[in-house]
Amino acid sequence: MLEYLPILACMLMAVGMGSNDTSNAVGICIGCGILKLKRAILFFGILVLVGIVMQGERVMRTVGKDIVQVDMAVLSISCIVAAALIIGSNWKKIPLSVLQVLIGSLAGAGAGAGLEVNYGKLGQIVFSWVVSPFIALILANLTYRGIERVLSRYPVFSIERTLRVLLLASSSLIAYNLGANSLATILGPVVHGGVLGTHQAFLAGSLFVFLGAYFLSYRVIDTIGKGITALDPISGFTAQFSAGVCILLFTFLGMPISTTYCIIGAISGVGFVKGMGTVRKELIVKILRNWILGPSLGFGLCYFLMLLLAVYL
Amino acid sequence: MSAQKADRVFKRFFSGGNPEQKVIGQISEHIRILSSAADVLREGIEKNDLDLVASVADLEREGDSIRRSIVSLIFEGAFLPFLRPSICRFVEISDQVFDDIEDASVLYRHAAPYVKGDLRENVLKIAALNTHMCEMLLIAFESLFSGGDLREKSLAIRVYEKRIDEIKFDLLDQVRTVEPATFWDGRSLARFIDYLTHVSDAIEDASDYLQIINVSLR
Repeated sequence: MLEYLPILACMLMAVGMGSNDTSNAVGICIGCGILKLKRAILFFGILVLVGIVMQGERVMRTVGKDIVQVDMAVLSISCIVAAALIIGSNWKKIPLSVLQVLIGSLAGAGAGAGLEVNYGKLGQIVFSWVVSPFIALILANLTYRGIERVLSRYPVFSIERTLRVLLLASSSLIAYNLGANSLATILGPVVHGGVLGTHQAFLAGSLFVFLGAYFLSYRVIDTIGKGITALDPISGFTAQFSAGVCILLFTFLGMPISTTYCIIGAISGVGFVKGMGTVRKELIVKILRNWILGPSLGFGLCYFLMLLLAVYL
Repeated sequence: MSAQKADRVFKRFFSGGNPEQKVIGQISEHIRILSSAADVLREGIEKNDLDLVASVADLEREGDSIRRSIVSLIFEGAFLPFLRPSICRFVEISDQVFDDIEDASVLYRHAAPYVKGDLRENVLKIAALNTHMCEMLLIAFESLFSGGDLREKSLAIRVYEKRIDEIKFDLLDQVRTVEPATFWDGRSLARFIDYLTHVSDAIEDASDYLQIINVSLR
């Protein structure tokens, strides 16, 4: 019975991912009228499944095996704490990254249980979190300059048609990465902890992401879709595309990184092209605070819970 | 499945058809009818054919129905949201040109007896220039998808507008020498000239909106 608890927690996180991150992928396409909501969610669900099947293995191995060799107690505590923190932070409207909380929790639970935590790998992951938004920023800066130069040669209605295709492609890239990187991060511990088979995990994870997207994502999509497209479609495409390429790069390296932070980095990159005034510095400070808060909370809570378990059991 | 059918299925899946093409086609049609209306007015004045001048109202109704269709297609989701307000505004201004031509045609019925001599010549010049401006507006609009130099066409529209402005000053001097039989005849003549000379201003505004559309995605 106990082995179902981490599975349940992971599936809850998958639902949370579906409800929150669908907007990162298809919000702009819905806002632009390229895809209708239901078609977009179906399209998103299929690409998430394709992503995890094609490339999920490396990230799953990093999270589930390379940081710490999980046992049932570590797995249960870390997944339950991570899920509870994500639900609680959503309720309190503090945006925490699922993968950062989960990795912090895994490392904390492992350290609390006295298991050998691979701090070298953990350092590499944290380094990826630090550099990935900056890589997305540089990519976005270069992409924006390039695309502006190329598109300015064409008639406006041809640009419009091209942008529709490009927006669809960048949305697909983000949806694919959500499967290959974010969902792989969530499923890594349960697969390598031996409580769920790889193929079962792929199907169940994708199904729960789809359910989260289908039943819970529409409000976020509405806000993000209209919010982004009201700015300008070239910036929207650049942000998605650059973040997508950056995440894909780290997926090849097996590093779990945050889609949202990469998109924020990429949007800042576009902002730098247009002038520093367009970058909201208070938002960057808020993100930085949550960036430290998420993994630290996960680590601390799991560490002390494992110590308590060791004392009382 | 043939390549064409696959392409159609792809388009239907992702966009449910091609409303953008419909809108572009309808805007072209709208401006073409506008050109016809301006030309019918010119020809009606030239031949002093009041029935022909009255037929401008039919063209205006046709233009109105196309405008409604364009706006509803845009409302249903044609084009990226960033372009929609400028396209709608362009169509509204084009429709304003239609209204000006229609009002001029309605008032001409009462003003006709006083439109003669040098005044008539200048009125005909303006009516002909209005037709050319409508044709140029169509060419300018087509350059948004064919890739021509829009600045060149906008410049041509501005040159036409300047010429009309110059004629307008003479026209205003000439109209002061006319002695209408009643107050209402005088008012009709003055307003006919107002509407006729306002057409070029509205076309120039529409051309400015084409420039806004052109730069909005760059």
